[in-house]
Amino acid sequence: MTYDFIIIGGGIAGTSVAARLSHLGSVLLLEAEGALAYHASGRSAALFEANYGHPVTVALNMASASYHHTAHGGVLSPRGLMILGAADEATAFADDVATMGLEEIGVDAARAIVPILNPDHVVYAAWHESAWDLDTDRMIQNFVAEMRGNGGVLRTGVRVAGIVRDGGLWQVTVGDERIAAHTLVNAAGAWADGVADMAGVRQLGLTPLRRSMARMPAPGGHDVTAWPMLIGAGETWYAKPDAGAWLVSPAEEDPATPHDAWADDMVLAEGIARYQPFVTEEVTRVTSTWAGLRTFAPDRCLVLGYATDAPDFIWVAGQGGYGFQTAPAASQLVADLIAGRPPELDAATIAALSPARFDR
Amino acid sequence: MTRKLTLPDAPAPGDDARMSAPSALRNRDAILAVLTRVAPATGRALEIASGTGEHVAAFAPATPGLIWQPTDVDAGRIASITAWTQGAHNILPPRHLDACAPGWALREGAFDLITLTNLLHLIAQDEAQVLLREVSQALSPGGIALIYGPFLRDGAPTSAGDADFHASLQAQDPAIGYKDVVGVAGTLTGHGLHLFETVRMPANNLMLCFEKPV
Repeated sequence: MTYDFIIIGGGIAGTSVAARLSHLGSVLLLEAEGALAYHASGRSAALFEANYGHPVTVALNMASASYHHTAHGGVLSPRGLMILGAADEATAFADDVATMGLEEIGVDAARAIVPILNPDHVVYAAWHESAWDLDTDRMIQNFVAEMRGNGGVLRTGVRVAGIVRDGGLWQVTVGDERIAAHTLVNAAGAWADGVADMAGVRQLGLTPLRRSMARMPAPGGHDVTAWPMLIGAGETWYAKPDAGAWLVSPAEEDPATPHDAWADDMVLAEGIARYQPFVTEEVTRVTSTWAGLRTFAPDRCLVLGYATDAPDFIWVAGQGGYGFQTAPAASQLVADLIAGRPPELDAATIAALSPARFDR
Repeated sequence: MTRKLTLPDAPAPGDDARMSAPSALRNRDAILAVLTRVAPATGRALEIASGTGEHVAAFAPATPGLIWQPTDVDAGRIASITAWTQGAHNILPPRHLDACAPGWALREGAFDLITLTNLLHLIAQDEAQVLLREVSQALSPGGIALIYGPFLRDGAPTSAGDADFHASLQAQDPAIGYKDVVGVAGTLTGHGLHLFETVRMPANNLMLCFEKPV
């Protein structure tokens, strides 16, 4: 059969778009790995903070908020966000507080919320409650269920080996099969430029940036469940409760080649060393480590919409670290563009997201 | 173009025409370690912004299969490069090259290796765009480009030292300063190069290693 839509990539980008497009026509969602959300989407810190990211990303966050709060019973749970600065971090701290709209609180008030903060080192603290944990697994499952409910087909463990334009259709080769579609959606994350290249579509210059994480026991045996996410001013590290344990990330951005990423031990050690003086409980044991690739376009803005150099080729790429929080509005925009419906987002935001911005 | 910038460790004149820059000496061995690992064994190598010439004087003997072409935009540096490289059997006489002016890739190319050390933060964004495009065009298929320097991450410096240096550059010329690592890497991959490795270097610098597909 000829599908209306083939979507390449089963992360949050591909599953959310597959769900939306399943209302418009027949959908085939292809994932190269054996399971969905294997790469970046499976390694997310899973926070919804509307003010986090590029201004255009923030517009997508805002437009996604109501979906996150309400759709399928909502996928958010309270977390809160605290930014901490040392004596020499006044400028970075002030910038972050202004950008994210936090309320500056004293060190004592901060310690009342997170008792392990080190009053000898923490000089600046700001907090707000309007940051939530995102249930990333449920988001993926919800979108896949929506797609399947509309007859969409999911195939995992199938790696696209070739893409050609033939007879006015996209012909996608997987194994010894050739599958045709009217419209091809490139939601391949760190591999999206490679997929474009395979299809003869101009690459955008997407850069995967590695970010490592370490999981460790809750500091000092505290019950960390209600603690907020902690971010070092200038995002030089962050820490976050995770199912009763504690995550610390060096928050690095090292350009990488698309691959199954792993944590860099030296980078992790440096990041933990930056985090350590802010707290009184020493990091003595790390129970697991991993890394994900956050893939950005050169201007750090998502890329959503029709390629300008090929027919019926849709980019859903460059999510950076914002794929989950932007997914409801991003996937809605893509579906609106394809359906020819007036989008909810304003024209300037849509232009800033469009692949056409890279035409010179 | 050349700017008169006040930099924290500007090169100092030596006994002869040879100038020496503390920063060039500090990062020389770390760069050399990456260079000897990833550089092609043979071919033509271009050094952009050779500066004092100390780098190419160390790089060339360690890569005997490469013929090095040192260059600089500043005529005042040519004498220093000449002095540092005299007698080296695989270093060509230094040439004047404004790598930020369009057109040199076709004129000078093709190269199997291009090195660019500590220049991007000293030039304007539009100059950097021209430079990176020319670099991508000047590489031969299979060629390697090594981009070394300090970068912004998500638009911000990542250490106090970087923040100070970036601010001092922007105070001297608002058009210059550190570039975001994603903008640089994305520009080159957008021109068809493949980023195959990022190496963390001393002083919070990065070495971005690119290859032009065959």
